[in-house]
Amino acid sequence: MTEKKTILLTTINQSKELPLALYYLKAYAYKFEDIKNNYEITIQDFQKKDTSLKDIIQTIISIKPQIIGFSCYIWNIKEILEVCVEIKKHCKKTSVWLGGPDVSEEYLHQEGVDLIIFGEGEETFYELLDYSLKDKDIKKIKGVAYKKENEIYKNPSRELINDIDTIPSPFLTGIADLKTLKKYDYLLFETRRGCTFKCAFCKESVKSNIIRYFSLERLEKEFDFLLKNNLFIEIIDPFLNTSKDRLIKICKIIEKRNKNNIVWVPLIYNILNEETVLALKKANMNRVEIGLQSTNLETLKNINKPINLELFKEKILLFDDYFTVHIDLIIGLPGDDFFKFVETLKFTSSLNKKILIELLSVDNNTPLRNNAKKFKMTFQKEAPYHIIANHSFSENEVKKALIMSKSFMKEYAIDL
Amino acid sequence: MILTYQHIKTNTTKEFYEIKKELDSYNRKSNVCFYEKELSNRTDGTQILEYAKNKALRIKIISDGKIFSNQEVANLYLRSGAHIFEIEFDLNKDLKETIRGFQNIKKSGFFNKFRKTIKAFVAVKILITKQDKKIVSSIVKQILPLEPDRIILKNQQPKTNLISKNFFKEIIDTCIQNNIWILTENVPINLMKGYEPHIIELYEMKND
Repeated sequence: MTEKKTILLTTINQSKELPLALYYLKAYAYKFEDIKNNYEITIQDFQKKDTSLKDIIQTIISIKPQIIGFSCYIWNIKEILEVCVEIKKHCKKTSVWLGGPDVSEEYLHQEGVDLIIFGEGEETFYELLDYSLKDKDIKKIKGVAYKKENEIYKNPSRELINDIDTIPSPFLTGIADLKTLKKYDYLLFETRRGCTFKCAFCKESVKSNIIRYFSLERLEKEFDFLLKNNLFIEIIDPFLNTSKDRLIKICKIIEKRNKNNIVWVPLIYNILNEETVLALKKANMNRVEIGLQSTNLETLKNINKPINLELFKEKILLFDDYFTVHIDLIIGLPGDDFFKFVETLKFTSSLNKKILIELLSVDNNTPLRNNAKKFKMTFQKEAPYHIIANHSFSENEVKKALIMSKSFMKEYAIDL
Repeated sequence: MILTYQHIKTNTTKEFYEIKKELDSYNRKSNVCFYEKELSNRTDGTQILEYAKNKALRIKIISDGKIFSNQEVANLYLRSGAHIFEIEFDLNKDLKETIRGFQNIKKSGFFNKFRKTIKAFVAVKILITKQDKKIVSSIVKQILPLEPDRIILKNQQPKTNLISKNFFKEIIDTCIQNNIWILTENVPINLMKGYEPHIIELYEMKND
């Protein structure tokens, strides 16, 4: 019997959260007997705060996988690229693959990177493994860019997976077993993929503007397993309430099982009402997050996120003190300036909820990035591509807005 | 952006029940402030703070900081629910105890409702007159390494326009370079051209 090929799927995380994307890849690939019989896929993730780059490199070198796949995000791509260079130096035969929402074929110009999976990765990853077994032509695999004899090739994009229930649940299949799951502070969890909104700072709709749902039957089984085992869940949908009916159905599934184990629920304000807020309450989903970003109408127009502020306020006030409501704001949006941001802060703090303030990332593949010239945006050349200035917000003001926000937030949030 | 606080008078002529009644009139999460000198003159000062805390009010203490040079007193205030402090630096007085008091509050922590240790918010307000403007810059440089959460420069003589623009510009730039937020109070707007984000009066808002 021939030895199985070794694959290491890995990532560098900011906190102790389950690397869901890697488990989806493994669960999908292992649906196929050929893959299961011929590949040993191991998942090992690293925490930025606990492990130095040197230790990460040493660990990977000691495993010496034949293929290594990194799950890349804006917060880890810089470190991953550094790791790739070192891996290639020490394990010349290891094929280095990158995937995730923040990769593009540009990274093939970097030393140490052999292949990029762009778009949804599950089918592409499986086909790449299958191609390797059956000696197929890599040119036929959609969603791949690769380097061959110093030339870079990019294949056509892959269509989205229409029925996402075809991706086996890593939780129900045991791909992520209970012992593994218990090591994490919380588990990232999707109830659907895609977003029909087109907020210019976000790439969700660019990744997929069609919403595809996991079936309620599957979600019921998953929630049952995870909550029965007292695991903590962070929902990573762009927002959970795509429709009132589905939200209420999900709440009903969770209602009898949840003892405050769902630690993060992203929501959109306009389709909230007393009924849905009550359903969330009954389901013990009390830590919710709602995006506002700015109250300046010009800014909201520039980021393609129309918000009715009166309605926003009305909806936020539906949440009583049982809930911890986080409202997201962004510093550095085009159209804002220092005092317009102060107005946003004034409006938001008047609602007496928690406030999350981020500096704008002019991320690859976002409509804002494509409009960088129009808004005279300057930003960091490397991830996380933080804004430096734009046509309305000077560099000096952006810096001052950040320092002011830090001071204000410490005072504002101290007893909330 | 700043929060404004409603001053709760606690001079000794006021009975505890009157103060309680006043605190009862505020909604949860309203902002109230106390003068430490008034509270320290009473035997029920910390009880008043605890009462306000139990009403879920956001409490600020305004003080010259000297009393907090005793670490136990600083801890007592924090335990009683005061988590936001404004320490006034009067440059005409000896600042040793004030600075020690400031440091004591900065290094103390308190448990929030999730049993997580939180550090208090401590702002420094420097009271400036024409006479002591020369030493303001050196005092600010002395305070910066102690990492105040905010510095406020308060002009004590708003009617005497004797402080030049460059005076504030230099101090503000130094604070921003050190990532410390700084505001000015009672400073004529014409002296602050190009430095509008630092004018406290432009932020004032009612919270209730």
